[in-house]
Amino acid sequence: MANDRGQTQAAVLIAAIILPHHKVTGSGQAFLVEAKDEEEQKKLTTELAKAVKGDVTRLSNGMYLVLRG
Amino acid sequence: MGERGPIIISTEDLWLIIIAAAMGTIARVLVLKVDYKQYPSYPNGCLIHVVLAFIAASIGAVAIPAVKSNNYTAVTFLALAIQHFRDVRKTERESLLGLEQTEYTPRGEAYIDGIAKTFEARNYLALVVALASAITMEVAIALQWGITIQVLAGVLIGTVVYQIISRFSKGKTVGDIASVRLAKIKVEGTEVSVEGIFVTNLAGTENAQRMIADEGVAVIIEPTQKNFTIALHNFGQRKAILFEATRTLGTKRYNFTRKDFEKGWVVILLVPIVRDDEKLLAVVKNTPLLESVKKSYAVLKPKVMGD
Repeated sequence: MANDRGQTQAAVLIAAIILPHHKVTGSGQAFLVEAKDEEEQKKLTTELAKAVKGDVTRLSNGMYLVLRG
Repeated sequence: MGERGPIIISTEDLWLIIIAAAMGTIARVLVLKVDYKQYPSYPNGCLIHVVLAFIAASIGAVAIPAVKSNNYTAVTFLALAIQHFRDVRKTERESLLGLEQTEYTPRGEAYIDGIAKTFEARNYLALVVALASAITMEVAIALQWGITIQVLAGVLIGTVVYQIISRFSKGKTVGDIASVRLAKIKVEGTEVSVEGIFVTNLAGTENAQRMIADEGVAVIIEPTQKNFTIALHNFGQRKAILFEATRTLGTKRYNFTRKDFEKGWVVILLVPIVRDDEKLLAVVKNTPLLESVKKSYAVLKPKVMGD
């Protein structure tokens, strides 16, 4: 996490952690991970966020995004 | 070789230079202590600025005896001094910019610019106080007052000039134009808000939600007049406030500033290393209003005669 993350609005999407029912046609430069269930999705999200020192947001459709400012 | 050279300086002039140089240096030392936020609290920083102040004060002190001895060209070193003080500003700016990545949050260019300008201005303070003392003592010599009266007059006028300049250059703080209070943080799923103002939705993990809910602290800054919002909402000003808050209390991970256009409020949210609400409120209130963001006359107006 950059020290000015709280100041700047820009964040880079590092990864998207999805479930089998999510349909993502393309993720651009972001890393796309498909988890088998919600439990694994949460676990993978935390592991990825820790690895890249990123922040996590959860979309209303259940998809998790790892971002870094 | 054992003989001393001819005496080229009178006792009055010697006293004049000593008192004026001392007054200028003392003036600088006094502002070094008062403005703790913008000045180094570490020993080497203090030493550098006291020595610089002594040199600035000495230049101011010897200017009058130099003119009196028909050495008019000697006064041109005042221009040299100004160039030197500009270098002080540049050095300070570069030094603070170099430290940006090591801080919890960056000071920001606007805050650094203000601090660097203040460093330069404080050298002028030393020079002008010394010059004022020297002129006063020179007038006292011309009026054939005794040495004690000369010294007292120099000290008195030096003190008055110091008071005027230091009040003029002190500027205002966030607390002068806004009220600051603690606010309640609400974490709903991934969204974090403070008294209904959205702050972030980056609390996606349970760890983050727990940390912000349990350890987070938020303050709301409410401008006392609508037009003060312009200064408070400035990006550089908010950076400066967040910097002071995180420098004082540290920050574990999360720190945000948000502005609310409807109410004109500014929200500061952080997860501090040391929780001290009183200190947080005090440090936010005491954050200087940056010169570069002062847009209205009411904010710009210096407190020379007090409020």
